[in-house]
Amino acid sequence: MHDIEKKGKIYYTPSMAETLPQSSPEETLNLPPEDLNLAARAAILWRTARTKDGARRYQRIATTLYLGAMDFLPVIGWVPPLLLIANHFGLKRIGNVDINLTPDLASTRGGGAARAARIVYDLVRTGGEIFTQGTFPSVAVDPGVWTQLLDHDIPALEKIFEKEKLDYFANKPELDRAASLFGVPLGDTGLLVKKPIV
Amino acid sequence: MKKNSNIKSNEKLAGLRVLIEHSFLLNTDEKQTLMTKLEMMKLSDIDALGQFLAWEKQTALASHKEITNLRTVLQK
Repeated sequence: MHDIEKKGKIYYTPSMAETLPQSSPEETLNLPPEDLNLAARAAILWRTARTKDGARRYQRIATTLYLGAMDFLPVIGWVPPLLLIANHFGLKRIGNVDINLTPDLASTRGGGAARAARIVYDLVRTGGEIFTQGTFPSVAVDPGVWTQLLDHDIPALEKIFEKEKLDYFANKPELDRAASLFGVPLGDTGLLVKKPIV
Repeated sequence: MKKNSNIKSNEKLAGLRVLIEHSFLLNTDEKQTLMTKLEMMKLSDIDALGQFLAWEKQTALASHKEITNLRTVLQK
């Protein structure tokens, strides 16, 4: 078990902190409360889409979006997709964040999580947005930042998804139809309330 | 044949507008930016973005259930 210290609402491990560039762990991981929702949202996206298949889909979409709408910059992906995008476009920076293409960045354990935390923090602090996901299942068992956020910010996540659920039910027919045009069945999410058979 | 394909892409464009409008991932500025670019988008881009936003919606709905269950377990 890693030695986890508590810093506000965020937990970190010393091993992760050691890999953080240009800042102390306090600066990096003490996210202000207003940033927590965004980071937590990133966490759930990562957590629910961490298969290799999902990663490929995200990489493709991130590239498409980046090409298609330069003003719109969601950096979607864990470190390998981030590298892929940066390499593809020869980028040294994404948003306000320097992308250092060093070999350790490709690591999906410890260092990768810490570096991604730094990127998220820098982006949210400067008004950017980042949505990340893990690329390999091994990340899921790593005591990374996202898992910790997820563990300790459940009410914020509930609030976010409750709003989304209410919006869905208020606009169900048109959203169901729109999603089905792209091959995604929203009606099968298990959230539909069926009348009991009398 | 071409007429059918145009109808299909118009439907997808309309569907994409709905998904952008109701996306929780995008902020207002991003939504406006994308709306202005829709007409110029290739069908493959419309497909990619539409799938992404539809999938986002599906994931969010499933995640709500998961988070609610998790909270229930924690409160026991």
